[in-house]
Amino acid sequence: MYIYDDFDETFVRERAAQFRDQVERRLSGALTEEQFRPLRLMNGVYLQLHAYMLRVAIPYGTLSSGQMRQLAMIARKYDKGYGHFTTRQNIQYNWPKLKDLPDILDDLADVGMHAIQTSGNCIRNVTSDQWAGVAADEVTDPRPYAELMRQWSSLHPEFSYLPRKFKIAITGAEQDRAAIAFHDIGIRVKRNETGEIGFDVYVGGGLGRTPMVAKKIGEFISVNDLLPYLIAILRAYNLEGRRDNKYKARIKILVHEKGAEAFKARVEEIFAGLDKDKLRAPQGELERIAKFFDNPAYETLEIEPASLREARADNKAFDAWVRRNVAAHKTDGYAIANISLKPVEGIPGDASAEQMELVAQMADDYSFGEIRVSHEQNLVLAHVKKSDLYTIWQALEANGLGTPNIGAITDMITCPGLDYCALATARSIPIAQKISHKFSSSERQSEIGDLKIKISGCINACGHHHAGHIGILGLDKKGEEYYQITLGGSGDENAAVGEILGPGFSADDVADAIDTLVERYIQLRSSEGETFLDVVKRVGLEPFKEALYADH
Amino acid sequence: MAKKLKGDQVFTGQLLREGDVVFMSTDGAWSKDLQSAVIGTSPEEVEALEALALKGVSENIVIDIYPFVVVKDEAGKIVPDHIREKIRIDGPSIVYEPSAQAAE
Ligand code: SF4
Repeated sequence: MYIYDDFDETFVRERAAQFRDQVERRLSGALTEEQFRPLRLMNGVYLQLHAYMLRVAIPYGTLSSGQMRQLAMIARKYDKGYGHFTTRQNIQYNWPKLKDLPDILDDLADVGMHAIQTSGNCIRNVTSDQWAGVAADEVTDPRPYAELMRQWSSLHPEFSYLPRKFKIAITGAEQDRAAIAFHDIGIRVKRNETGEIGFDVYVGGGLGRTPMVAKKIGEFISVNDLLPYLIAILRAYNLEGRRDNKYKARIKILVHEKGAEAFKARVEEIFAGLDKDKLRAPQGELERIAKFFDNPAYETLEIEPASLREARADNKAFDAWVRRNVAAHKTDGYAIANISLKPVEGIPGDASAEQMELVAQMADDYSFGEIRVSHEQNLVLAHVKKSDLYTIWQALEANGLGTPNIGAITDMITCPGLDYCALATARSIPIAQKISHKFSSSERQSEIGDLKIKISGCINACGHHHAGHIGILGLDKKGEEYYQITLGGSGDENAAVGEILGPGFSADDVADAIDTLVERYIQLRSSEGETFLDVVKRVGLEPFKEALYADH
Repeated sequence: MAKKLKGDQVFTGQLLREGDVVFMSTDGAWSKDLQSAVIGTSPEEVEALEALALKGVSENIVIDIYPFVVVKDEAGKIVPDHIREKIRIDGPSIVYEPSAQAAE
């Protein structure tokens, strides 16, 4: 993985020192809250329902075992012994004290981490496929480009005060695991017949109160032109995006109001006028970066070791975990082990300090010391030998990390909701827990197959409910929490925004409603291979509405 | 702003240094205990409380102050009338601390 050079190291240290000074001045009263607020937000410090909250950047979701151990240390020393992994592949601490934050930033800087650009109207952490570099279906590894964009977008002077926040995601695989269509810019890395790399660029996707699927405006943009092309998009947005209305300030509104074709034309006009040579990455920089992402020293292994077959045959629970949580690796004899942070009735995305340390240890022992965070709030060991899977699973299972549910109905994206979030209109986590309880049997889950439920505690949609096969949005109706259900959303390469089924449900009734929808699906499907989403696409909403509202 | 809220009101904010949720008691002191909060029962009282709460802001003790509606339950305890404030006072409604989870 990428390791900071002196430049990165210095700027992170300088920023931590500046923030220490700013906090001191705030605590002494030299700065007012109005003056301090933007400064703390630039360093990822929010004020939430119960406490401050710190969001730490994990560039494209990749971190080292040493970084993970430091995150665990911070959780234990300054927080309440746990952290929350987010849909932006970052980690949040829910209970830091302002007086401790300068020390926390120093501790983060010790391992090359920070909280810069995890808030504010700037380019946020670039996200990517959690299986980048190892997925069997990958065209090419997107991480060198993600890292290039990280460097380019960090403290970019022109793009530090955009009309609104700006999120970029990149994938190099056929299957989109990074939800690129719901980003301000989504990038798909492609390879043509002659082996050249290029980028299809999508703009104007987003969730929130006005969900939109991004439109393709750039076709096979060359590697050389990537940064200038991004600059042209950002410049068009920076100049023309609305600053008068927060709810209309995202690029998706500009693209929508202007029309994708007109926006594309504007970008191309700006692009044509750029002095591109000055804006490209320096000669050799991409090659330098790419070296950090070379394959680790894989061994030559047999494709399917006998020990794995035997362990699966002997142990049903392990077999279930392999079937659900282990994915194909591009290298023979290796596998991608996905660690679910969605235990039955647990808190989606949370991990205790001990669990973080265990995962760090597993990474050191079995996966070249590297860990990934997925946007679906799980962790990944990306390079494990198939012959080590059983040992890894035993350790995970003994520590509450062996839940076999990746991609299943209980693997829900869930935002913090009203249990933590100052903007929330309803709770999300207890709803996830009730659903998790209802579908806790792994037999039932495998019968149901792939089904993505996503839950948000307000219209801001941090829980990606619009992209859920079943989406749940928590609202406030005269002081009572109630939940609106959408169907047919999807965050993958066939991205779609879910449609509202009908009147909402009370907190007590949501899990039963989901059960009804699932039962209906099982009746409707033509074979076990037809997924929930396939059925919704085939039959539409009506049969599901009938099932849900028949007695109403 | 105060006049728009219907009912008796208490001022809340968060401690600048720690971020903890606190409530204003008499003389503009701030406490984590809602029961010690002073209640404004008329628009005039709420306005006076707000002036006092803003003093806490200018003295850099609290941030993000605002009033919320409370009622008294049968036992005479002050309780908020909205779930948001209830969760804010009681903490997350879920078992979230790993040590507590292990003990379950
Ligand atoms: S969706 Fe709403 S409730 Fe959930 S984290 Fe985002 S802002 Fe908070």
